[in-house]
Amino acid sequence: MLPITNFILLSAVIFSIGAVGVFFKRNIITILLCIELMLNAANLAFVAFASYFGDSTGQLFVFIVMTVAAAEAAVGLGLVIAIFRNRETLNVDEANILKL
Amino acid sequence: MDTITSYLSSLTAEHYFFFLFAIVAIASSLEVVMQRSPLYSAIALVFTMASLAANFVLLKAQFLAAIQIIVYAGAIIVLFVFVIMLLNVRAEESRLDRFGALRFIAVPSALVLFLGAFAAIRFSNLDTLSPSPASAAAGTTERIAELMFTKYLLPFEAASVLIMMAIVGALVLASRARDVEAEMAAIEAPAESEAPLPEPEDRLEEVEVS
Amino acid sequence: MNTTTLLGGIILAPLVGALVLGLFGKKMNERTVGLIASATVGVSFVLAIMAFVALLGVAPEGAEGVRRLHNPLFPWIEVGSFKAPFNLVLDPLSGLYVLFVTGVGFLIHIFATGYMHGEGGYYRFFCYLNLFMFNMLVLILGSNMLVMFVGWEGVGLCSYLLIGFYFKQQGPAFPNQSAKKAFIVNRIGDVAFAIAILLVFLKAGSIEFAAVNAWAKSLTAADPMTLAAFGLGGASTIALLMFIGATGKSAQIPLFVWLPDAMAGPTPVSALIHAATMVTAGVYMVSRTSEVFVKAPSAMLVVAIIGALTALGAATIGLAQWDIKKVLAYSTVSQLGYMFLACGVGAFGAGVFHVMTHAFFKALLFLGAGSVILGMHHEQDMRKMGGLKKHMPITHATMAVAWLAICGFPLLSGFFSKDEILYQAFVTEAFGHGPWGKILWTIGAITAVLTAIYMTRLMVLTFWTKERWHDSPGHDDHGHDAHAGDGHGHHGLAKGQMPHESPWSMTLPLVVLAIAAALGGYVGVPNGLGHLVGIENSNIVEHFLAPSLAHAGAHGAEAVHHDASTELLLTGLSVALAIGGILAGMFVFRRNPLLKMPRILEDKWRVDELYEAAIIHPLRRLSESVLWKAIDVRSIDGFVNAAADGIRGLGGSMRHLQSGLTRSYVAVILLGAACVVGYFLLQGYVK
Repeated sequence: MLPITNFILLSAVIFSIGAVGVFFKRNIITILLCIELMLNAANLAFVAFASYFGDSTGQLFVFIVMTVAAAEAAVGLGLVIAIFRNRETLNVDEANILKL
Repeated sequence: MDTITSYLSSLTAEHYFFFLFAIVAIASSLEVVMQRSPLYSAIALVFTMASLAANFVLLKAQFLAAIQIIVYAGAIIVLFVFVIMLLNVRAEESRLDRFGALRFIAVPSALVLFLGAFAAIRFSNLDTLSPSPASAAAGTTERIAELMFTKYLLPFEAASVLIMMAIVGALVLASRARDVEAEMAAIEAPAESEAPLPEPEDRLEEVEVS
Repeated sequence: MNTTTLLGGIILAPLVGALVLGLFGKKMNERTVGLIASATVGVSFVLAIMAFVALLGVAPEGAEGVRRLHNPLFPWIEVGSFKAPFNLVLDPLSGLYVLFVTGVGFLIHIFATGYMHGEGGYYRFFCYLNLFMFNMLVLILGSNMLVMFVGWEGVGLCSYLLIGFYFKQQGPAFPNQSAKKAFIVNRIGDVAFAIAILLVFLKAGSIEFAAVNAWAKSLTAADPMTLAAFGLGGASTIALLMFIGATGKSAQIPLFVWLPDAMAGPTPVSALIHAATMVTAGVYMVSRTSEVFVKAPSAMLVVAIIGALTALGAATIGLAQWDIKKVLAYSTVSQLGYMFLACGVGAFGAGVFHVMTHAFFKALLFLGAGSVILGMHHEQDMRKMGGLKKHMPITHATMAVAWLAICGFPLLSGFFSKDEILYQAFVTEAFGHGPWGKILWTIGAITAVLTAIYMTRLMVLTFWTKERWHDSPGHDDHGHDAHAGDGHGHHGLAKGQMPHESPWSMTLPLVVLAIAAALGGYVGVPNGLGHLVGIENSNIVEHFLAPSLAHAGAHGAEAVHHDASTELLLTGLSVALAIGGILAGMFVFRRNPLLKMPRILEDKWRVDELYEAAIIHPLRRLSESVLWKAIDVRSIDGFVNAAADGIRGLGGSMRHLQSGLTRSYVAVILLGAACVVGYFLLQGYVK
């Protein structure tokens, strides 16, 4: 099999792209997509290590992460709809009334 | 030149598949970030997920590969696309927003994160880690199910509760704020439908026939 | 019924009563409330008799041959080697106490159902009264010092609640103030008691009474009888600290000032708590740990001297009071002094015997006074009484019995117990051979005369001289009498009203108590007197109590009949003193009932004023100028405010980070993550 470094490096690259995306995008939905990207990157690292150690626990954890991601997507999109309904925009920079 | 040829000759089919899917994954994830329209971003994310699922197969995690396609690409991204369509989101004016001075914090930080991971990989002895013989069976549905319903039953149940709460939360957030009192009043007050029906003559409409 | 659970039942019954009355009493009518309150205490009384009978049947344990009835309830506090289980134990000493506490308590409950008729807060009164019974019984039955302390504090609380029962009355010396005074003065003693418990645990390794007494007994030599002995941290210090606790609860010098003020409470409370039961808890505590005391002759001497001086001082004050309850209050203080005198000279049995007889006749006196007060429509000033014999025959007859008993008239209960105390003081060897015994006897004898005089004065002023109901005292210079009312806006008889005899619920307890006060002494006829009529060891009470009490000096209660002639001589002398006192009182006060007493006595030796000037005022000044203005306001408040201001300033500057821009938060999260990763990278690099 391939050295595990390949997978971890791929994971790191995708994670970094996701992190930068979260910062640079203004649309809430895109930001949520970037977060999914980061979660997937983390999942890849989990699976890689799980395979190389021969321990299924890491894979089970990925399963749990997916569950949480699903929940997060559901609630996050619910929030998106609520924000859009109230403010007619999805720009995070305009959802800034929670400051002093 | 020799080194390159010797390297190329040492490559197996696994390598080629990995490089293929790694390139697709990186390219599509870059697209996720660079697309101006959220819809295209979501579609790009489907490609990322699919290539990651392929990587899972390379790692002998067949069950997760299937789940990745079914749950992530099939359900979650569809949900995103559904919401994007529902809200009729317009594309942004620029691909990336240059966000003031903060990018001088954010970009170096992201770089440091990546370099940290890179350095950790480069300077550790991860290369010498050979796949465990047990890894072949680690990713089967059977093994995962066994763990899930025995040792990790409680986290599994907790995750199911979490999902349910998320459903309720999403319902509450996304449903229109209703005027409960007005509805109650409408229920209690005699409905307008109880008004006497119009007389048959009144219901007739005179149509002029030419 | 299983005898081991009897003791739990004794304490449980009043607790149940208190809970039921406290929770549901408001909705009940007076009849139900009175029935529940009296019945629960009655159950306790019956159970106490059963337990007492059972106690007589158990085999004596240990070398001393103490009969004990154990009732372990539950383990309470266990920390390392410190164990304080909530266990109850009945031995001869606590057996006697439980009997008269429940018995007298039962009678007073019945009396109170009549006395409190029509008062607001009827159920509240009986709830407190039942709660008091529970705590008093815990105090008596507790097998270790901590359980006793629980009861000790509990009776203090109930005392506070009941003194302040008429809390709606306002003014500088009204029930609220009296209640607070009682509570605070008691705290001083309680602190000493608590320290004594700690010290006992350190020294003896246990706070179980049996273990403490065994430890004291095992001390090879008594502490030297010097002042320095108190500094050694041995038996003397423990004994003295416990005695300070006792002075608080039992109103001895210097902490007696609360008891006279406690008369602001309803009269049955005064009878039950501030005469018959709670105030004798100090004597009980000293007797309970008597082995410790006999190893500390210096402390014994302090106890005896304080007791004698309290007896004398309170008797002199009692001579000059106009308020009928105040006279009885000082009389109680004085009699308590007798009890401590007995304990101090090592005659614990005699002290406990006097506690018992005193419970009968003093409860009777207070209840009689209550009956008089009710008959006079809440008039407590004896200057406005007189001639009540005709109108309140039962009250008069029963009170006359109590009067003779407290004076030490021959063959009534007070005579036997007081005579025994005086004799034991005379022959004591608890402090080695010295003049102390004779000095203490002299003080006691003088007090006996004074007792006879002031009690005669009380009887004369109240019952025998001409009626002065509508007189107004010509010289109302007694500020303390102005608040003598028992919780009513108006008191005293209106023109044309006549005093009336009280209902049967009040007179019945009076009659029962009168019988007890007359005959209660025959269980403890001094051995010398018994010898005279041909009965050996006639002092059944002391013989019965002897196993659970220590014996001081070479002489014990058993060695009495060696000095039969001395004892008879002293008995004759005290009879002469008592009768002389009564006759003197009759002679003086029948002629001039309103005889003016020395001002210093009317002002109670100005002890309150002394405390006010010497302790309370400086303390208040200290609290105000140093503790409040300097320490609290400047230091503590300053520190707290500075901390709050600092935090607010910090928050004020930090809130600018809260830009409301989500992506700036993202940038900060990334920075934080980078810092963490960077730290580990750097660490790996350094390695």
